[in-house]
Parts: sequence; structure tokens; C-alpha cells
Amino acid sequence: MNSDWQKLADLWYRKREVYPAQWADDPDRLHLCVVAGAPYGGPVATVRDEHVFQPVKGSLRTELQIWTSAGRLIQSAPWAHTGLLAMGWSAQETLVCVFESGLVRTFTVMCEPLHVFTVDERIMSEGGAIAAALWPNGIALLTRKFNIFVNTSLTRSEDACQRFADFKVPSAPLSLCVLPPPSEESADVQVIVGTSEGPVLMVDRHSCRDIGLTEGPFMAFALSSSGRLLACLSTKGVFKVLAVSDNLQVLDVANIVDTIKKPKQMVWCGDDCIALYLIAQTPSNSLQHILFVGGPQNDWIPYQYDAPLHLVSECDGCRVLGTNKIEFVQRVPPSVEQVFGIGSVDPPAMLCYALERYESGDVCAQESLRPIKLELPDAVSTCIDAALCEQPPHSSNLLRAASFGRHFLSDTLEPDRHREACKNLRICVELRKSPVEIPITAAQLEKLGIAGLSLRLAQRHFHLLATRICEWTGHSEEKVLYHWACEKIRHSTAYTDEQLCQIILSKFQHCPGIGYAEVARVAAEMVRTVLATSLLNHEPRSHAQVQVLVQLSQEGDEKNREIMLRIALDKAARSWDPDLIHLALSAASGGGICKRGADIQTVARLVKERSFDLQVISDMVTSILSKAEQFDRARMLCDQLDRKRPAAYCALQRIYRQANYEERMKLLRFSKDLFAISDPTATDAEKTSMQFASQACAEEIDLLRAQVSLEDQAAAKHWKGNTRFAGLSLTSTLIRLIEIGEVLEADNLRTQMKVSDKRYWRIKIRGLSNASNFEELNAFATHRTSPIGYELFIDTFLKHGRNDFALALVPQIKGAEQQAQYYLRMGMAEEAQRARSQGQERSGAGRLLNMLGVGR
Amino acid sequence: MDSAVTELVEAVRADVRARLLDLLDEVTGRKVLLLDSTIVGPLDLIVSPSDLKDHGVQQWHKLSDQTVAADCSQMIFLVRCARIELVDMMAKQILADEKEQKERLYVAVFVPNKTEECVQRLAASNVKANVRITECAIHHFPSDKDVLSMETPRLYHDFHVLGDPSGPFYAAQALMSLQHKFGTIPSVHAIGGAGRVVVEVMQRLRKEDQAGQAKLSTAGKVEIQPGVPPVAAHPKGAAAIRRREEASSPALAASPEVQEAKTARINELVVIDRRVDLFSVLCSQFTYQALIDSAYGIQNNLIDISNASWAKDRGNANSTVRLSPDDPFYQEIRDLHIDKLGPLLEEKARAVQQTYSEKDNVKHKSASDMAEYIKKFKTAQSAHPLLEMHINLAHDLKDKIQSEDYRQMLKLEDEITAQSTSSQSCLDTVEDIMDDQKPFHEALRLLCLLSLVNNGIKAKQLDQLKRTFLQSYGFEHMLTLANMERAGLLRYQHGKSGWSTIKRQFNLFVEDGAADQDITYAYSGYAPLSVRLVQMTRSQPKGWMSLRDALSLLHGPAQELQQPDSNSAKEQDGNKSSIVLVCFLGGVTSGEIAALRRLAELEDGRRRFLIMTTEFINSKKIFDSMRNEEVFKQAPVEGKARPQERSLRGFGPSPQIRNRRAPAHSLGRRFWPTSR
Repeated sequence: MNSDWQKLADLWYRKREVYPAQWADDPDRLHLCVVAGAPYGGPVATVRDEHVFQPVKGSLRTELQIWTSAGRLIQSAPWAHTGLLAMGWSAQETLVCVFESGLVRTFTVMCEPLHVFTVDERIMSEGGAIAAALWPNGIALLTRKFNIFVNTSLTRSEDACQRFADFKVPSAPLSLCVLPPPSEESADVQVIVGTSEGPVLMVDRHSCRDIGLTEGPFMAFALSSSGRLLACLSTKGVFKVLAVSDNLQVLDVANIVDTIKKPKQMVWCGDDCIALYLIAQTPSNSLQHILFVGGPQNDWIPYQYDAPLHLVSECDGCRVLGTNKIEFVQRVPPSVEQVFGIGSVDPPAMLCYALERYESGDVCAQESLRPIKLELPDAVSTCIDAALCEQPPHSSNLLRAASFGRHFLSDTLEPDRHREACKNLRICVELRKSPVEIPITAAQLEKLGIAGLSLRLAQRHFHLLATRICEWTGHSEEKVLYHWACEKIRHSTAYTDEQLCQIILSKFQHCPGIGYAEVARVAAEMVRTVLATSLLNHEPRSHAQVQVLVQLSQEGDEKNREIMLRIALDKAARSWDPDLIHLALSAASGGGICKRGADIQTVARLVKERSFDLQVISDMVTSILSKAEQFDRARMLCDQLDRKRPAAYCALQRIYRQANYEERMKLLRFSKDLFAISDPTATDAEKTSMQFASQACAEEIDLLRAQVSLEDQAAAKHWKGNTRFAGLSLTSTLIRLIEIGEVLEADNLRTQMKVSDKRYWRIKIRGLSNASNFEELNAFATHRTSPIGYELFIDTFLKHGRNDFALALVPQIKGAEQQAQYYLRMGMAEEAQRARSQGQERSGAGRLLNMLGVGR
Repeated sequence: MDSAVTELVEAVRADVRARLLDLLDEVTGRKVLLLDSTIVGPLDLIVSPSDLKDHGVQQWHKLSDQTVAADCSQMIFLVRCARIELVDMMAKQILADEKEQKERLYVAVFVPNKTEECVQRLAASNVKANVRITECAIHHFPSDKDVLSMETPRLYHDFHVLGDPSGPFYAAQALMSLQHKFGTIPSVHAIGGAGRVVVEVMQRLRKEDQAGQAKLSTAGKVEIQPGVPPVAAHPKGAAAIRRREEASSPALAASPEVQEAKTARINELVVIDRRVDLFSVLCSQFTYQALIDSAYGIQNNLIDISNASWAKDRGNANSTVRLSPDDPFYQEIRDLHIDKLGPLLEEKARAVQQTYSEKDNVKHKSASDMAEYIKKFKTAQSAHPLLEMHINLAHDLKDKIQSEDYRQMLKLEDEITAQSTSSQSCLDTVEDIMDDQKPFHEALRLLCLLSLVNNGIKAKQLDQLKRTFLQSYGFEHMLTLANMERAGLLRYQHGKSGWSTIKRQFNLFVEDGAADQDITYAYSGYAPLSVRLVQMTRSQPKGWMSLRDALSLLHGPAQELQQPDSNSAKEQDGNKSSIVLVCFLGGVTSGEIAALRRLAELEDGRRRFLIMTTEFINSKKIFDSMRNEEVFKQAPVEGKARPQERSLRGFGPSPQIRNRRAPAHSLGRRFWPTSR
């Protein structure tokens, strides 16, 4: 039973055959190709290696081929690209191919191209890339000028691309290794560089430091799948293990003297040991393929092969893809060791033995259980653990042993765990079979999760199996359905849009929160407009809705464009979301409403159709254009929408930007005319307001003319003081005139502009007071009867301490109390008393004044 | 202050703080922070300068047209997505750095979320490639123990004048963020056009959330890997898993889905569009804080007293004073009516004085008495400067409101609201104010109040007033007038005024005796309509339903809705006080805040009020917002006065000829004497 176990240091290891390889027809395939195997029992991609001399065999056409783990071809596609630098699989199980030019192409597992992007244009200018390192969510590239570019996405570059700090080295580094960011969102990547001079550098965006690893140079690095351990192999055959989280501290050192050549592959076998794949030349000039497994305490198990291999690191072991068979190397799990270890009398082993006895009809089977009565719960639990690491029939025996032991327990022990173990095992067993051929282990399944698994199955077009697994495990099948719908739209050309929509909706209706918009986008890509719009109507997220509609509007003919824009504008207006409105608008105007060639006409036409519902849109356009100071266009838009009043105000705004007198006059006249146009749809209030505005413009024209002529006079007659008048308000102009002593001009202007008596008096008092011209003010007060009373005069005099002038005016004041107040303010209590005795009571004050009265 | 409300505000503060600091930590190393001007002010409400320093911020500035020079290799911009014009300033900064060949890492953080528009604008400035764009969901700044301010000014102008729905939209987002944190609010009241938008957006976001949550809940399950095979008893199994989820994964417990399962911590929401209640902005307020605001303008709890006469002799002391909501003394006095303030301050001053004078008596006493006295003395001494400042301030305010001008305005305001005198005589007074070129917002305040009360002003009168306004304050105000008309502040009379009905229905004016006790105290007799609306959701038997007719007199639709939430417990305990979130779209006045606090007292603590506002407003601010700032920044008209220019443009020789002649002419002048 345990004959295939081998001891390494003090731990047991085993290597088991998983499948006989189905690709044995070409024994050199793995040698002649660039190979990339996906973890979690995933597929293997091969493409011809340009750097290896290729014997002519069969077709000369290069193909990208993707195989199952058992070596059965899934799909192939012609391969016309050159300069492949590295190939690997992303976390979503898409194939990532990195080229020397810095170009990245990704493919689905069905060999369909997905994304193409260039990491950075600077890579080409630096002579291309010479090395690449991939991790499941990104790429690091080393250029010929020894700069590192890191892209933290496998779907785009742009903001994901970072150039790392310079590390100046004279010659090409031997190897690269990426320490991925701690979480998917973070961009905190570090790259380990093994320089050919010896030191090992850790580089990130800002800095580069020597991690102080001696006995270099190091030619190979490997990061364990948990990301905790980093293995390093030097050209001198020194092997070191570093702890990543613990500041790259050296944990273990081993000397493998005979390995000086760079190994073909060095990968981790779980977190336990290292698998080294070397190719050695035998004296008879044939190649020998040697796999070393080991590391701890410098103990190594060699395996020899006569055909090439490819190693895939898994979280609990290492898959060895051989030309003739697929094997799995792993450390024997402790639970299995307890059950199946030679001569093991541990409780779990005893439990299994008891079951064996019981099943063979031994009436004394219970005796085997009696000595382990106390350890029985642990034994049951260990049996479940062991079952998870085994294949049928062992696994089912172990599960049976566990349930057998359970009978002898008084309280139920972890029923959920038992059930889940059964469930996971069943999934693993089913997936291992043809045609799926995914040899995933229970431990790997645990790490990947059902969601990850179902996505992988969906991508391999096992949608039904994926949904069944989701249903069975109680997970959402949303992602599977989404993938299914996209594939359905892409590949089923026979259905009409309506039929397809029906099919998709019938599947989607039980799945809330599914991304209708994303599916609609795919439909749009396939030029299925009707399908896309009808799917979009089911989308609850307006952001997704409008974005897709906008995208749709950029395709197809003019008619289609307009339909889409109409819906997009409508949805955007309904959402009230300013960003969506902007998005829809810039689509409708052909990219940015403020741009020079913006298509305002279309916007106007679309809005006009339903001007009431789309009021918010027209308001937004007007305000955007006004903010960008494009008043003419704003005015034209309003004109087209028959909104006369806003149009006139847009024109008005231009006036203020024009500092030139004559230009301003022209614009003023233009505005005046615009305001004078009567709008039959306007309300009475609006009409009155427009009329007023027109008159106001006319008055401003008169005023400006008068001001300019005043300025001319000022220049001609050398008036003193500030003689800038243009742009001032009428009142300010009058005051300034009075201030500089040109009272006569002020009087003239006042007559010309028809300023009422009352106002002009107030203005004049203020002007004279500002100029401290009190004699003139006094003359003004006594010259004629004031239309505004004398309070203002007296207040002004008092403020400036001219009590002499003030006193004379007090008797002119109506109301005895007021007179008294003024007397009091001048400190004349007697007169006040006299005035008051003549007067009467003050009339009742209101709410607010009463309050103040109380407050005093 | 009520602890339940404060707790919520503190939770928001902690959240905003964490978001901001996380954001800073995401960019490791030293950095410069450039902030939106509307964020830089309230920033110290959530983080202290030392916090910023601790998180690697070397310097921080307001993002402006001026570029900043710094030797940090990283620069973070924190900008509101609604203020798209700031993107250009960012671009300017980056391009300036490029010119100086400084290589930096730029991170543009948009608040509360990044929008296509911002990204496009960045791309259009040709700098997008250098910039990492992220977002940070900061919605509120807790500016007091019961006030959350969004600090998004000009909502009233933008929505009601320009028709731009961004303001209500972001307010709805902010409300959603509160609901994520504190549970779905079961009962919602909203009034006004902006209120309608908020409710619509909120409902839509809720629907989107629910769709999203279906996703989230399954995503949550995946982490706890194993599911349940259908063979087993399904519901029981699911319950077990649920229990385990909650026990095992604290991260999940924080997810909104689980949060919502709790009882809602906010029980009621009242959304009030500023346009519904402009009276409360236009009427005079008399609480200490409101008067400070109107006299000095409170900005982020700071006032600038450099112009105040009494502050001059304070020597080199700071020109700004912080009116901290955390200061218990200020808390005590800020909501007091100015009349009540005087005696209180006097008393405090006397107490300090007394403590000082006790000094002589203590000399003969025991050591412990002495120690106690020293303690007392020290507190008195530390309170002294603050008290002195408040006494000065209060004195100054008192002087202001007792000045003749102020009394005149009050008299007029009184007449307008009481409709006691003819509108013509009121208008005459307003015209006088305009003729004297008093601050334009004073004149407009009274004019608009008159217009609101009388449902507009007769066309002939209004035209006359508008003309006077333009003649006094300048033609630039054409736009101000148009904006005011669009915003409903000013209108031509149309139909009968509903003011007396509104007054009666909402009991807006309370007689003198009762006014001190009711919510009217802040406005000396006027009860802010907005606060009455809040009061009536509870005081009326059927809430707003009972006053449908009265509500129809106000601007914009009123709506009530229940947000059913299956998870939350239906009935809360009768004796527990409920929390009401009052959301002001377009700003809240100090008087309203004071009135709401009073209302909580009047309701015996059955309801507590949490105030959310887009900004703090007063009558000056509202009219400032009506002005089109750009217009006032323009260069003045160039008269044609320069004689040479005139000849250039008009009768003189054509410019080309003149240009050709000019150098010759100047040459000649220079060389003539020598050649002679």
C-alpha cells in the first residue's frame, strides 16, 4: 500500500500516476515547445519554441495548442506571432503570452484571443524585453537597458503600468522573480533580481536594495504557491530558502555541488520541498531528464526520465507532466501517514482495521475499537482528512471508517465537515474523469473555491456541469450564466434577436443582480442591437445601462445611432446622475460638448422631441457651455429649443467679457434686440421681465455713451481726481462727479437719465458728504425744500461733527420726538425736553422693535 | 448634547477619518497634498495637522492657479468630482512640474467618486497617463456634535437657477452612505423640487444596491467555502452557516448586508429643499451664533475679527477666532438669544472677578484650601481670555443691532412679514436703501422677502425697483436679477398671496409671551417654516397628510414614503427616543439649527435631530450665490478715452500706415537736433 512512499529528510513523499498521457504520439513535444501548465489541475498550453531547432514533422504551420491535464487536445489555433518571451496562466485561467516587444496577448482556454495591449511604449525604445516574470495578476518585464516595467493587470496597461526604480548593473541579470502584492487591489509589487555579479536586489517603484544574500550569483528563484517562501539557487550550486514575510531572512541552506547548470525548471512542491528539473547530457550524447525532489537538510530524491517533462506547482504538491504519464508528487499528508504508515497502530489505523474486521464478518471487530475509545473522535476526524487526500476506493473506505467510528460516539461530531468532505470528494472525483480531466485535489478545491472552479468549467464550455455544481453546493450561478449568455450570443447565429433574448431572460430571471449590461455589451459587439437594448431594459444599474447605450450609439448607421442616443439621454435624465448626463451628452455631441466640432444640432434635435422630460439635459448643456464661456453656442442651442429668454441671457453674458467700448455697445444692442423679441409661449411674467431687460440694455447703452463722453470731457478739461466712469453704475457715476466737484455735470447727467428728485437728493447728499464739501451741502439743504426730509442732512452733519449746520435744520424735522432725539444727540437736553413736551407718544412698534426695546 | 446623535456623528467622523488616512497610506512615502478649496477648510474637522504629518504628508495646500513647488516625489490631489474646473488646475501643476523635469507620482483622488467627466477632462489635458485616478467616498464633514455638513456650496443656485441636478444627486448619495452605516431609514418625508430628486435618486440607488447585494451575499458565501448540498435539511443548514459566518468572519459582519439586518438607528428622514423655506434665510435671527455669522461670517467654525474695532487693541493676537463646538462654554451660549446672553456673560465675568478677589482671603487658610483655590484660580484664569473675547463680541453685536440703520431694517422687515403697511411704502424704503448703495444683499433681502410674502410684486413697481437696483449697483447685476427670478426669490405678482394662510396653518408667528419658549425664540417671534415642517411630521395626527392643503401653498411637491425593510425590527420601544435626520438641501441657517435643538427639548426628548446640510447659509451668502462671479471678475470697459487709440480706430490713418510711420517718426525726433 505504501510502497510508493519515499523518505526525504524525515518526511514521507509519494509520487503517483494520475493519468497515462494521451499526447505520447510526439515524444519531443514538451522539449520543442514553450509549455505552460495551469495550476488547480488546469490545462496546458504549448506553442512551438522559436529558439529550439525543429525537426520537420507533419504540418509546418505553427499552432497554439491547449491540452487537458491528461494530454488530450482541447483546442488549437494558428499562431502567427513571433518573439514569444514567456507564457503563463492568469488567476482567471486565461493564457497570457508576453512578447519581446512588450506586447501582451491573452487567450481563453478555447484559444480565442481576448486582450492585446502593450505594457509600455518605452520598452520598445529600450530595445525590447529580455526577460519576463509572470504572476497570476500581472507581469514584470526586464528591458534590454535593464529597466523593469511592472504591469499589475492582465487586461490593460495604462494606469496599471509602473516603471521601477533604476538598479544600475553592467550586465544582464540572471533571473527575475516577482513578489506579488498582498491583495489584488494593491499595486505594491516587488521584484527580486539575481544579478550576474552576485548580489541579489529587491526593486520596487521607488527604491532598490541589496538583500544581502551571499554565495551568489543566483540563477533561479521560485516562490512557493502560498507566497511565503522563496527558493534561490546559485550558480555555485548553493540552494537557499528565504522567508518572504520575515524580511527575506534565510531559513535553510543546502549545497548541491553537482548542479551548476541552470535547471530547466525549479518549482515548489506545495510549501514543503523543491522540485528541480535538469537536463543532462549522457556520454552517449542522448539527453537524460532528471527530476530532483527535496531540499530540506540537503536530502534529494532523484527520478530519471527518458522523455521531457513539465512541472506545475500546486498548493499541495507538484504535477509532473511527462511525455508518457502525468504524475503527482506530494508530501504524504500526516493523516494518511497515520492511517497507512507501515505498522501504524495510531487510532485512525485501528479504526480502519476495525471496519475491515467488521466488514469481513468478524464478530469481535469491536475489540479493535475498545483500546482507542478515548481517541475515537480524533480518529474519525483524521479518517475524514485522509479520505480527502486519497482516491477511490481508498477514500470511500476511509469515509466509511469515519462513519463506522461515528456510531460509537455519544454526541454527533462535526456533521457538516463530514458532509462537506463527501461533497468535495465527489466533485473532485467527477472532475478527474474524462472529458473534463481536471485532476484537482480536495485541498486545491478548498483554495480555489466553488466560484473559481465554476468559472473555469464555464470557460471550458462545461456550463451545465458548472451550474449543477453551483446548484448542488448552494452557490450563485450568476457568473456561469453570464459566461454562458456571452458565449451563446457570440456563437449562436441561427437565432433571431427576440428568440435569443427570450432564451437568455428565461435563464436569468432566477438570478438577481446579474449583469444585464455586460451581456448587452457583448450583444452590441456582435452587432445585435435589438437584443442589446431589450436586455438593457432589464438592467437595474443605470450607470451600466447608459454606458452600454453610449457604446451602442457609436456603432451602426445613423438611424441606429439616433435611437440609442435617444434612449441613453432619456435614461440619463431619469437617473439625475450628472456624470451619466455628461456621458450621454458627450456621446450625442460626438465627444465633448465643449469641443470645437461638437454636434450641438443633434443634441438640440433630440432634446426638442421631448423638451419637458429632457429639461434637465438642456439645462445642463446650457450651463456647461456657459461655464466654458461658449456663450454663442449656448445661445444657438437655446434658440433651437425655442427658449428665447435663456438665449438672450446667454448673449448678455458675452457683453461682460468684452472690454472694448464699441464692441460692447454692439453686443448691448444685440442683446437689447434679443430681449425685445416677444415669445408667444412665455408667461406674462416672463414677457414683462424680457421687456424690462430690453429697456435695461437700452439704458445701459445711454449710460455708457454718456460715461465715455464724460471721460472725453475730463481729458479735455483736465478734471481732477478719478475720472474713470465707463462701467460704473449710474449712482456711482453721479457720486464720483459730485465728489470731484463737477456738480453741474452731475445735474446734467441726472436730467438725461431721468433720475427722480428723491433719489438724486440722496445721492447728492452722499456725494457732497464724501467730498467733505459741507458748505455746498448746507447750501443745497437750504436752497430748496427737500423732497426727502432733513434727517439725512442732519445725520450727515452730525457724523462729521458739523453741529452748527445740523442745529439749524432740526426744526424742519417732522415729529417732536425725533426733534428731541436730535437735540439729545447734540447734548441739548433742554431743547429736547421742550420739543418732547410738544410732541405726542411714539406709535406702537412691531414685533422686532419691541424685542429690542425689552432688550435694552 | 444628546449622546445618541453624537454617537452617529462620531461614527461618521471616524469613518471619514479612516478613509482619508487609508488613502494617504496607500501612497507610501513622503507626499504633497493639494486640496479642493471646499475641502481644505473643513479638513481640520476630521484630521489634525499632526495626523497628516504622521501619514507622510510633507505639506498641503489649496489647489489653485498657482503651482506648488515641492521636492516630494509624490503628489496627491483631493478634489470634488463636481468641480470639474479644478482638473485644469491639476493639469497645470503637472505640466509645470514636467517643465522643471520633476518626476513625480501623481494620484488624483475624486470625492466622493470618480466620474467619466473628470477622467475625460484629465485625458483632454494630456496628463492622464501620469496620473493614477482613484476615488474616496467622503460625503460629510461633521462640523458640530449634531450637524453633518457636505460643504457643497451653491446647491440652491445650481439646482434652481441652472437646473443642474448634481447637488441633490450627491446629497442622495450621502444619504445612502448614512443608510449603509446606520440602516435603512424607515420613514421619509421630502418637500420641494430638489427633495423630489433626492428621493428619486435614493430609491434608484437602493434598487441598485439590492441587485448588487444579491451578488455580494453570494460572494460572501464563497469565502466561507463549503455550501450545503440540497439533500440535507436546507433551512437548518443555512442557518448554521449563517451563524458561522457571523462568528468566524468579522470582515463580513461589517458588510452592508449584515449591517442592514440590524435595527435602523435613524428612524425618520425629512428632506427640505431650501426653496420651500426661503423665509428662514431672509428673516433676521437673534441667536448669538447667527448674529456672529451675519456680522463676521463664520467659515468652518472660524471667524475673522481683524476688522473689528475692539480686536485692534488685542495686540498681536490671532486675527481669527475659533468658535469650537467642542468648547463647553461656547456650546452653552451659542444658541442663546442675544438678550439672554448679556446677563449670563455678566454673571460669568463676575464669577471670575470674584475668584480673583478671593485671593486675599485665602492667604490665611490651610494648605489644602490653598491648593483648591489655586485650581479654581487657574480655571478662572484660563477662561478669562475666552470670556473677554465673548464679552467684546457680544457687546459689538449688541451695538450693531441697536444702531439706527439696523432698527430701520427691522422695522421694515416687521412691516413686511405682518403685511401691516402697503407694499408701496415698503418698496420706497427699499429704494432708499438701494440709493444709499448699502450692501446689495441687504436691499435684496428685504425686496425678496416682500416678493415672497406677497407672492410677487406688481410689474410696474418691480420694474422700477429693478431699474433702481441696476442704476445703483451696476449693469453686471442684470444676471443677478435674472437668477433671482429663476430661483423664485423675486417675481412678478401673479395671483393672490397665500402668506396669511401659510402663516396661520404653520403657526409661524407666536405672540410675545410664548415666543421665548417656543422654537420662535431664535427669530424673536417667527417660527422657521422648515422646523415647523419637521415638527408637524409628528405633531399632526397623520403627519403631513393632515396638512395637504397647506403644503400645496409651498413651492414644490411634498411626499411621504416608507422604505420597507424586511430585516429591521418593525416596532421600536415606545420609550426609546427616535432619531430624525433633517436634511437641508441648499443650506441651513444658525437660527434653524437652534430652533431644531429647542424643538428636541420641547418634544421632551422623544425625538432627537441629526442635521445634515449641504452648507451653512445666511442671507448674504444666498445673494452672493445669485451673483455671477465670473462677470464681476471681468476687466472694466475701456472707454475710448485714450486719444491715440481713438485716432487709430476712427478717423486717423489706417493702422498699417501708422505702424509704418511710427518708427520713422520716433527716429526723426531723436536725430533731428543732431542733424541741425
